[in-house]
Amino acid sequence: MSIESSSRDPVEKLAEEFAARYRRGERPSLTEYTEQYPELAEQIRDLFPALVIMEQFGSVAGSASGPFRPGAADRAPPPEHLGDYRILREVGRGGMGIVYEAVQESLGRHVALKILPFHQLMNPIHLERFRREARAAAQLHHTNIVPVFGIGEAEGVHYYVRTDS
Amino acid sequence: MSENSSQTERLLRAAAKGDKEQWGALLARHRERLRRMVALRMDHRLQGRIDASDVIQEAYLEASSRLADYCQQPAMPFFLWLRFLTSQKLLELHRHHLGAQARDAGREVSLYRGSLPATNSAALAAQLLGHLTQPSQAAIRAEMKIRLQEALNRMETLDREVLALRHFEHLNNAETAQTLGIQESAASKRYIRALKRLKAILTSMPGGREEFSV
Repeated sequence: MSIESSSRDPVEKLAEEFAARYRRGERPSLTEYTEQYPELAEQIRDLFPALVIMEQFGSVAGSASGPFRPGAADRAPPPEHLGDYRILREVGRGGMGIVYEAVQESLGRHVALKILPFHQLMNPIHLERFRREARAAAQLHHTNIVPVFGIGEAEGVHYYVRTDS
Repeated sequence: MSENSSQTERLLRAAAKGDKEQWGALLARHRERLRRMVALRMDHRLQGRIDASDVIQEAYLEASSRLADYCQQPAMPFFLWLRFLTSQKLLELHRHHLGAQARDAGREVSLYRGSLPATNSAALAAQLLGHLTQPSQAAIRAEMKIRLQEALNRMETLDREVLALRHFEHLNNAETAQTLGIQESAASKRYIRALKRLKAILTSMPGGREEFSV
């Protein structure tokens, strides 16, 4: 081993090995390293989780939703009405939809509406996946999952409806 | 690792003598890491217009025509040479397609190419959608990517670059040092420093303490 490589930070050397193992599909535990190198344990516990995040979320390829960039269309103001539902505000945005708080006017109840973003309508696979998700969610009964009670389309916008819990 | 391994040497010698099969085997071995590099560094405006494998293909053609020169006097390890040729091709493409805007290309890390969920929304959306649905997992994943990207973009260029080379391009410390033109000891220390900063930024982000600390 040359003088130069021995002046590498010992934690960095371990990190290189840990990352290489991680990429081979191994999931080495932190304790394996902290027990073997107690003098470095604190740094290992501090830094390796960030390393794992880099490895886990760092791949560019195969990102969830294809080649779309955030654009004006995605940031357009929400529709005021969708059929029977009056949109109050946006509460969340995910890879496959935007969730709004809304009021079902005929019944006067608050609901959550999930809308498939316009650009994803272009893609029949996304639309089908969205419908399938809505149908699958409608069949789930679980205390932690709010029930779906409507799937619809209005003015070209696809949505499904859940209680606003 | 600053020298080519003996196996690479052997394949290179065979390839230089015109052994197409060995040459193919040698190139195939590096394709995955080159693909990572192109995916990471191709400007988002070119995504969807240019395929990463076309860039790599062009670099391989260039490498084939310059192989004899390389073997006579290898200025850098073989993989880094391929990486260099690939980055040159990418730069050409950026210039060709983006013109004057090309100089802005590749300045920031762009991990996430989907539509952007607003920050902090994923947890709420996941709650609404139920944790079991595939889309909400995708959303959380997207959210994490975006946070990581934001954190990286807040870092100094060299720190960000060290982390990107090590973890996105899968370079080891020696290759990272050589790519950045610094000593291996300096690259090693810089990496640990960058990882510390990344950790600090991630934990300082909203909701970061729960998600990022163990």
